[in-house]
Amino acid sequence: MESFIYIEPSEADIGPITKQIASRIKEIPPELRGPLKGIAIGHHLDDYKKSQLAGLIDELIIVDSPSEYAYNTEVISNILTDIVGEKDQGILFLGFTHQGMELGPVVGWRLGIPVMTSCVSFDWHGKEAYAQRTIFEGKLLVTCSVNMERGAVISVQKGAWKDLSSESKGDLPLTTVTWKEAWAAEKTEILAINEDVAEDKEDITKAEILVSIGRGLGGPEYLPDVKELADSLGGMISCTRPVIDLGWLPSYRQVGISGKTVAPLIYLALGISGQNNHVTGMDGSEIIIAVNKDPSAPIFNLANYGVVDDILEFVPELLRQIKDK
Amino acid sequence: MRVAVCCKGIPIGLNLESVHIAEGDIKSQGTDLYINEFDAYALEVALDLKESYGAETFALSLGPLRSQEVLYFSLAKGVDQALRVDGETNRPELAAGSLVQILKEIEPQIILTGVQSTDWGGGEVGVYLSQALNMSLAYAVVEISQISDTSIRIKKELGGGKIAEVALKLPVVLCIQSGIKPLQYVSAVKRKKARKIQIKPGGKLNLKDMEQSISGLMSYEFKEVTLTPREGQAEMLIGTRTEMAVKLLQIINESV
Ligand SMILES: Cc1cc2nc3c(=O)[nH]c(=O)nc-3n(C[C@H](O)[C@H](O)[C@H](O)COP(=O)(O)OP(=O)(O)OC[C@H]3O[C@@H](n4cnc5c(N)ncnc54)[C@H](O)[C@@H]3O)c2cc1C
Repeated sequence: MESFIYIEPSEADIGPITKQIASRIKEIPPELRGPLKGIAIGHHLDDYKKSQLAGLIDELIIVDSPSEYAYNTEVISNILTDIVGEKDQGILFLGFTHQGMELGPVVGWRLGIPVMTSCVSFDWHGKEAYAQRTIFEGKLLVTCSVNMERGAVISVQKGAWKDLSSESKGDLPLTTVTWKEAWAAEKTEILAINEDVAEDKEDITKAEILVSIGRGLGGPEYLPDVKELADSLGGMISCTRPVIDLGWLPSYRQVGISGKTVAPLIYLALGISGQNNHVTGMDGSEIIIAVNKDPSAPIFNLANYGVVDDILEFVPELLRQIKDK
Repeated sequence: MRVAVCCKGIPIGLNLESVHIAEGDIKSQGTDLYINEFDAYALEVALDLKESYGAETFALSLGPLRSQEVLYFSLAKGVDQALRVDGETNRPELAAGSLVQILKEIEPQIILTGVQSTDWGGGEVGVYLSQALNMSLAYAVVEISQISDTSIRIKKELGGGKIAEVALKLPVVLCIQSGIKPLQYVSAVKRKKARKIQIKPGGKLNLKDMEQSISGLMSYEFKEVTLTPREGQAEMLIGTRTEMAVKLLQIINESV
């Protein structure tokens, strides 16, 4: 048995999801999990990042892949399938991120091993592991027993597990794997990578207070009230993905896995259900206050304060109270 | 060019009481089924390809009889043909496995799915289809820029605001992200007319036919469905609307 973590390229530090997964899997007895090996594809890990991994994993595998293949999921899948499948019983852990959503099922299908996506808990006992994953927009959980005898692919929601890493200690054994032509892309060519830059626009990552709206707002006609609220609190407006998809606000205001990651002092979530793809981008906020008319909305699991009410009534009331002062 | 779009029927507003595990699967009690939101965006793309490239479009759904509603909706929107694979499952490998046969018969150059279904929330089916049919794959597609006889150019999300421009060989599976196109309204008249069009049989979910190819993937069992635990639960503000508003503003004022 060997356990692997796919280390996604990240900005300044090792991505939180890698540290969270490694922290949890390290707790599993080595007799069960075998050695825990990180796989980094390409040369995106500088010495600082490598030092962050020491103590978190038992070995780092760096695959010497040409730079044009960075972000090429066809190539990454080829490499992961080979490394994880090299010996029997390879277990691949990865984040339930854009890359992980694609890579996990590809590797699982090719190796013919169970794939459990979007996991929030994972307990390993002998030949079986118990994984819990969210269903029905995060409202319910299903517990699954996964047969680990031949290997498995487990993808994990960001923030589901705690990062228990501390200051780096000791050496990290390193293996460099040389590039194989068999891994080259046959079907996919990355032509360019672009980033949504927020020049001249309000940068929501700098706000101390975010008034964030979800689909619960019901329509763009209610935006002026929200704008007034954000202005009077000295904050900015942010939102969930559906608000962008519906064309109510521009994309630079989106918080979440495909948008911005924010950590304001106050995150006021109005009509937001609190699904992981959104929460991933705001769970570092100091104080989260959620207003939602559904008392079972998952956002209340994360928020510090909650109000069960209709935002179309509650926001005008907030504005009245501010004016009355 | 043939384009197949996979559309899942999703129950809305379920609670713990209406979901249970039976016959190794997650079942939900007989509520109405609506098109999975992400698949609705995939459907818009299919119709756009019909308009721009003259594509012949096929909507496919794996589901029980009541999932025909999703296919009638697709027909009302304008797809050329609708086919239902009879069966019910929330296991993604089974769903993909049961769509493979009919897709082999249709031989589409482009298969479209939504990035994920809002009930299961995994995103595996499109990815599995690409592997089963040995097709190119792009996940979280936000734009289709150009199509030639042998290749397609798309944009896909990488997360964190990054977008990749990608060229892929045809045939291809595209897992479509929400917001790629605005969802178009479909009139009641069109919906009514669509009900007269025949939904074709697309085969049956038959575990025996597939067992060999997906038995390894199926080595997990559903054990229990529970409510998501409310750890770290919010402190709920109570009282009249005015009292709650005052308290909320007080919390904000004290914190900044
Ligand atoms: C690959 C991928 C990437 C994604 N990236 C992101 C991302 O970056 N950011 C993001 O936000 N999402 C993202 N999503 C979508 C995400 O999964 C959810 O669908 C989305 O976050 C839900 O947004 P919402 O809470 O606004 O809408 P919903 O889930 O529809 O929730 C609306 C909420 O409003 C409440 N409500 C309705 N009316 C009222 C009212 N009058 N008063 C009070 N409450 C009301 C409802 O009870 C409900 O809880 C992504 C999805 C995928 C598959």
